[in-house]
Amino acid sequence: MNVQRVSHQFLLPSVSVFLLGALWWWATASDAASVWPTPVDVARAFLSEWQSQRLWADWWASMSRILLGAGLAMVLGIGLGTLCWANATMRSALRPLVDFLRFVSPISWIPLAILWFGIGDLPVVFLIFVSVIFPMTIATMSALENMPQLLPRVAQDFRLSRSSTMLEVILPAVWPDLLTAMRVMLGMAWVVMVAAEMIAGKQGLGFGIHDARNGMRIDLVILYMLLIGATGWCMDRGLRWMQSRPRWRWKNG
Amino acid sequence: MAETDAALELRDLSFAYPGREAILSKSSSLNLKIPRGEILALVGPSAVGKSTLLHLMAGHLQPQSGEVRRQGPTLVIYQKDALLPWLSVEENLQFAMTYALGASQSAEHEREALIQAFQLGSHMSLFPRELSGGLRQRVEVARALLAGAEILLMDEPFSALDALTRVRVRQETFQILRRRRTTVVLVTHDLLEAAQVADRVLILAPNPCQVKNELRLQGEIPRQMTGADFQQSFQKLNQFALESEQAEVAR
Repeated sequence: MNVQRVSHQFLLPSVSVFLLGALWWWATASDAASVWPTPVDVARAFLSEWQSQRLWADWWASMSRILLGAGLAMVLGIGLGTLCWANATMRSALRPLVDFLRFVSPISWIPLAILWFGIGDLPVVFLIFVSVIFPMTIATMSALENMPQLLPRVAQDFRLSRSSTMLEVILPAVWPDLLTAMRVMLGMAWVVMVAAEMIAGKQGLGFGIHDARNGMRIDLVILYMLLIGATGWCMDRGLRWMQSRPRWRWKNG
Repeated sequence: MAETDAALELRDLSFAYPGREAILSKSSSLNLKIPRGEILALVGPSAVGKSTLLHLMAGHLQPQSGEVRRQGPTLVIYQKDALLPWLSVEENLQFAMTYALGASQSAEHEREALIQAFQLGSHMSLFPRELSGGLRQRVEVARALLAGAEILLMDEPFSALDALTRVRVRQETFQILRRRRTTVVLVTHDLLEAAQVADRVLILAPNPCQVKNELRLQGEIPRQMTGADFQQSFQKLNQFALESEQAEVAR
């Protein structure tokens, strides 16, 4: 690992995080009467929430919702996109509808989600689901349309069955593009989830922020914000790591 | 040659893409017999229909009339390599064994023999993007042979390689193909290539695609480019190509 790489991967990001922390400290520590918490106040809040177990209960509630809602939407989106790509009738029937629904903001579904599912896990999972499934369908279709055309021909030459063609050739051929789409979708779903939990949740990171604001616990608001950012960053790093594996790097050279 | 010896046979073949002029017309439909083990080169100008003919032979396209008879497992080697890019060399070869075209799957010793013949041993863990163009083509031919292909349809397979690599890879590849008595149809616009490796050369003329000239070449294949056989074949081929061109202009 050379010096430039180390500096770009670790040193520069650490410096910018440190500078932001220092700025925060400088802005809040100088006024003892301020309602704005210092980094130390947030660290104390973290310890107390850690002991009360609430932080992790909220974190796990959000994670389980995102895994269920986004996971289901990604699987179904890939299936629906493949179906539309493979079948002209399905494409003609569904493409305009999917295009239309893609432009309906997931947040605008909140009133209907509450009416249909009440308050709790289900409306949040539903909102995550609608935020992912339509863009994922379009992304899958686009990946399939841009797939190197020789690859399905190879499957044909080797006389692969339809299911083997799909699993052994088509899916791996579009997997790098799908990973990129998943990174984008996961970011979007994470944002929608926080908003949905603020309004329709009884638990979760978004609900935690809402609850802390009602109690004027700004230290908790910032703690939850940090946790939301860190979790989103970790999930994105996980997908980036998958993208960087030698097996899936062929599209980007 | 007896009819049963033909590895590939085209009978009264005609073809047109929808809404376009016929590439192979019914009035001058194509008949062609390629004996087992022969290396046949199809030479002609761009857009003459060489690749279309190859896709008809492979069964990718269906003729309007006539038929294509393939007596043995057939695979196409494309201009741009068609290895599965997410699989290593070893896994690409394993893919060929798993989906072998022959009656029985290739044996392990066959795999080892091909790895040795194509000198792939030190590249087995690499992915296609980590290989040179010449090596990728060698892996692809090895994959086809490992899958049990007895007929190879090659669509300008070496055209993406630089001139020096092209001659070397061609020499190595066709040495192995000849030793295994693989039937090959080689589409090319390179007379040097045809003179180096073909038993028989068909010079094609366009509108519609037809065999303008047929030439049988002598000597052991692949011909050494410094040898008399190659020089003779190349001269003959040049002369035939020139005559075909002049006849086409006069027409």
